[in-house]
Amino acid sequence: MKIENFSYSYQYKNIFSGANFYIADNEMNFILGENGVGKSTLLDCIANVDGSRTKEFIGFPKPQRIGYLSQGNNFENDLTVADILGFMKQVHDVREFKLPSVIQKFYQTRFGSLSGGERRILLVFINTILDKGLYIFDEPEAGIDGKHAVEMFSWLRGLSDIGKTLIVTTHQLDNIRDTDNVNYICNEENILVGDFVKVKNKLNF
Amino acid sequence: MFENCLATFKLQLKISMKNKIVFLYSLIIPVVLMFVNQRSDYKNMNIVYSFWAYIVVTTILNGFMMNVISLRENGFLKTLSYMIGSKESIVISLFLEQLLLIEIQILLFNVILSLFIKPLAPIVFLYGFLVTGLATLLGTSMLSVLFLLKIKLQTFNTITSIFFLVGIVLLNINPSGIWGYISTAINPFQLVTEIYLIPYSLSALAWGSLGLSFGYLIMGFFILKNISIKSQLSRV
Repeated sequence: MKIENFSYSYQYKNIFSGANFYIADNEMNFILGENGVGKSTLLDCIANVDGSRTKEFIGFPKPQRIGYLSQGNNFENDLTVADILGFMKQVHDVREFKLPSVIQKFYQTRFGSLSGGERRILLVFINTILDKGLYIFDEPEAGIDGKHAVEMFSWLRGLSDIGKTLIVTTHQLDNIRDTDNVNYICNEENILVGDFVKVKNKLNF
Repeated sequence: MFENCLATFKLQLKISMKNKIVFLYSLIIPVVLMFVNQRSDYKNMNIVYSFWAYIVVTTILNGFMMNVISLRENGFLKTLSYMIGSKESIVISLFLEQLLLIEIQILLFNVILSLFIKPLAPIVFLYGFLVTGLATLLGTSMLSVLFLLKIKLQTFNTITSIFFLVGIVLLNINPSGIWGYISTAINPFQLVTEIYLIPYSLSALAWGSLGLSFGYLIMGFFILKNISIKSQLSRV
C-alpha cells in the first residue's frame, strides 16, 4: 500500500504537499511526527472517513475492511463493558477472543465510569478482535500506563503475527522495533520512510 | 449486513430503555392532553391523528435525531461505523429501533384512549400500526434537514424543546386555505397528520401532501446516505 504525491489542505493551511508514504503489507507500520503535523488527518484519509480518500491512495482496502480507532472514539456511557462485549459477539467479522485479565477486572462497570486509560484499553481490545484487512490505531497508548501499554502493544503485535497490516501513530518510541516500517513526517512534503533503525539514524534520535 | 443491523438494533434498544425520559415528552404529554381535552369530539379522528403525529415527530426528534447527533459528537458513530463496516447499517437500525418505540407508544396511547375516553375499533389500531411506518419514514426524511446544521448537542436540545412546545400549541389548530398549505409544507406535525388523513379526503391539500412527501423522502434519502460520521464541532 502506498500514497503518492499526496496534497491536502485544511482551512487554508497546507498539511501535505506532494508527500509520499509507504505501508508494508502484513506488518506493523508506524506513522510518526510532532503534534499537529497531520498524522490523524492522514489516517482519516486512509480510512476514507466521509469519502476523503483520493486516487493517490493505492492498494488500500475498502472502508468496510478497515478497523479504525481514532483518538476521540467512545461508547455510550450507560452501557456496561459486558453490554459492549456482548454486542461485539453478535457482530459479523469478529474473531474468537479470550478476555484479557485487565478487562475482566472492570467487566461489569459502566463505560462512563471507566477511567480514560481503561476506556482506551477496552477500545483497543475490541478493535483487535475484529477480522479486518487493515487496522488503524491513532495513538492507542494515549492515557495508558506503561505496563498496560506494553500489554496492549502485544495485542497489536499478535495481529501482525497472523499476517494483518497495521498502521499505528504513537509518541512512545519504546514500543517500536528496529525492523518496523516507519513513515516519519518531517514537514508537509518531506516524509522519511524506512526501517525504524534507519529513520532513527537519519534523525539522530 | 443483517447480522450487524440486528446487533446494533438490540444495542440501541438497550440504550433507549436505559434512557426512559424520552417517553415523558412523546407519550405522557399527549396522554395528559387527551384527558384535559376529554370534551373534544373524538368521533372526528383528526384530533386522534394529531396526537399520533405528536408522538411520531417528538420521538423522531428526541430519539433518532438526538441519537445520531449525540453518537456523532461523542465519537461513537465513527467507532461503530468502522467496527461493523458501514454507517448505513447504523442509520437503518436506529430508524427501525425508533419505529418500534413509536409503534409501542401509539399502541399504548390507543389502549389508554379506548379504556378511558372512547373505545377505538380494531381497524383503527391496525390503521395506526400500518400508516405509522410511512409517517415515521416521512417525518424522519423531513427532519433530516437538521443534520445539515453544524450544531452542538445542547443547541439541538433547545431546538427540540421548541419543537415540543410548538407541537403542543399546534395540536388543536387546523389551519385552512393557504395557511393549511404553508403549514403542511413546513410543519412536520401538520404534514404527518395530513398523511394519516389522506384516506379520508383526496383534496388538493392531500395531493399536495403526497407530492411534498415524495420530495421530502428523496431529500431525506440523500441527506442520510451522505451523513458525516465525524464530529462537526471537535476532532474525534
